[in-house]
Amino acid sequence: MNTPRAIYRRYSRRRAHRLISSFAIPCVSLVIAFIWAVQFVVSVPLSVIAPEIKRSWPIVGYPMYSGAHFAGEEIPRLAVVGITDNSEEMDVLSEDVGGGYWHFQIFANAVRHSNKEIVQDVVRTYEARHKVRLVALRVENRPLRWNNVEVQAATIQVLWNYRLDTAEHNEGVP
Amino acid sequence: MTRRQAQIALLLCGVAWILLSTLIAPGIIQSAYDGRSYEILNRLISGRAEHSVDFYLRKWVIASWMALIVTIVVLLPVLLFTPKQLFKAWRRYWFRLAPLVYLALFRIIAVGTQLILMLLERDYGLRRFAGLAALPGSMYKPLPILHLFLLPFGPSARPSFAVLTLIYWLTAVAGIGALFGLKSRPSLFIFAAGSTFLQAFAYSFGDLHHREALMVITLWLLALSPSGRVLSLDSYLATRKTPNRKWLQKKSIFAAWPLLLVQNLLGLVYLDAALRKLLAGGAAWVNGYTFQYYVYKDASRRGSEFGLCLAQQHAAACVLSWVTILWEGTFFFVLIFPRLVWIYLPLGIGLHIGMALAGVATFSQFMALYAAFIPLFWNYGGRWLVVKCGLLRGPVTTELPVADRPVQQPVI
Repeated sequence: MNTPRAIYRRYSRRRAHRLISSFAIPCVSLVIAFIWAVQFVVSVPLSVIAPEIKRSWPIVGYPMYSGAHFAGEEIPRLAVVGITDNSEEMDVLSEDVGGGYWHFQIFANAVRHSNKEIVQDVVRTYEARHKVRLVALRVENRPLRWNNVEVQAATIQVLWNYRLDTAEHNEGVP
Repeated sequence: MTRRQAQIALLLCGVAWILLSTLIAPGIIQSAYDGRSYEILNRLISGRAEHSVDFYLRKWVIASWMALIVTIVVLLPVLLFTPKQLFKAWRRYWFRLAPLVYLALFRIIAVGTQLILMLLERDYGLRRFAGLAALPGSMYKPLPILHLFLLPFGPSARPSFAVLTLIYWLTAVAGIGALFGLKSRPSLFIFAAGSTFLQAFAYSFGDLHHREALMVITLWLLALSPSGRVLSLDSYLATRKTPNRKWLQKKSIFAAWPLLLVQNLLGLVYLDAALRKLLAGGAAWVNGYTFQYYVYKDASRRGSEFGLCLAQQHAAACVLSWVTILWEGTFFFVLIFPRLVWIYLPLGIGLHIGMALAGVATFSQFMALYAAFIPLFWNYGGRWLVVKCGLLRGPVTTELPVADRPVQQPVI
């Protein structure tokens, strides 16, 4: 049938097909090539050079659980002890930092590496919540020694002592 | 330059590279380690206090061989085939005519899983975002992808909890639309964007994991593909007055690429995980103690009785270490030999469920993404099994096309 409507329909179908061939396939091909290539570079050649690739999330490396360990090795457990102005010592817990276990690890490492900004922010929140003044922080490793059958607490190691600048961070605390 | 000449040039370059990396480079590394080389090379070796020169030499050997292999893998197709042949092969692999039903099933499983996790799992719920929103500003280091979303609000913009709540619920509503295929394309785009934004925000405080990464990429792929053309409210509303819908037979050249890309990405990330284990831990990774160490560490933190019990079984740990590394390192074989899907995927599901029960890590998203392999299951034995056991009757067993077996196409 060659009615104007049928001709138009045939014509528009052909046009749509041409449009798909000339535009959609190259665009989707670019998307495929980009995602595949970036993930390949991150996963194969870069896995040799860079141990962790994170900032490019969601295209990242997968280094989880990659280090080797041996019998009788200690399992490190970081703890942060807050020392108040009346020399009382109290553990700073992950609930005090907020966010969860991993954010507590970030805070503990911030104290260890004297990252003043993070330390002061967390200490300020801690002091406001607990109505205390902290004068120093101590990072400890309280490792567990595990011998494949049972677990024993190993000797506690003091990793770092951090003296807080009380004049700077205690504003507004009673 | 003819193709023959280019092939010879590549071969000569490869030989020259091997000679350079084995005979000349070690001397340069040694002198740079001793601080006797050019300043720029001396500066490249920064950890002299922690590592001996052997460490850098070993790293160089691995890096140089890896560079050679990757270059050959990339250049070989260009040298062996004409551009026209490559273009044809590309089109035949990614843009083959395939049934839309597999893609729609994949959409339902992937979106459904992400939605369930978002609404029911504590790690993705609003309470977690409340905790993150309360973290100090000094911990906030937005990921580049979050910067993209926040670009109009300035480089230091940080969304408040109210904004996060709004985005969370908007994403959830879009997710329900995407799951049922109502306004599929916009729903999928909003769901993908919302999920990316929320997860990128959660990972902008220094703590970053990778279990959600592949799911986020997949959601974008689904949004870009015709995943809502069948098994959706959209298709039902559009064709409800048509007597013979035959949705099982609907095909598109854009129905296969998202599934194939997810399969490829799964192969790559598992290979990545295996390579990093071998490079960081070496042969010691399969000593059994490594496995026990990680299981104990995580199980004790999460309070998993099963994990604590598993951590005491050295023989089982040795076996599971080997299984893990072999399975991860060779997962991509499924793409080449599709029948292996019957071994690799059940094993993968078993390993992931085992990890979750042991309190190590939960990879629900990865298990949901295994739905990308449904066509392989169906085409390579699934249909035969279903018919033989009498589990399904009617159009599903007869109308859904199987692969062109002689060609051994990896998918669909």
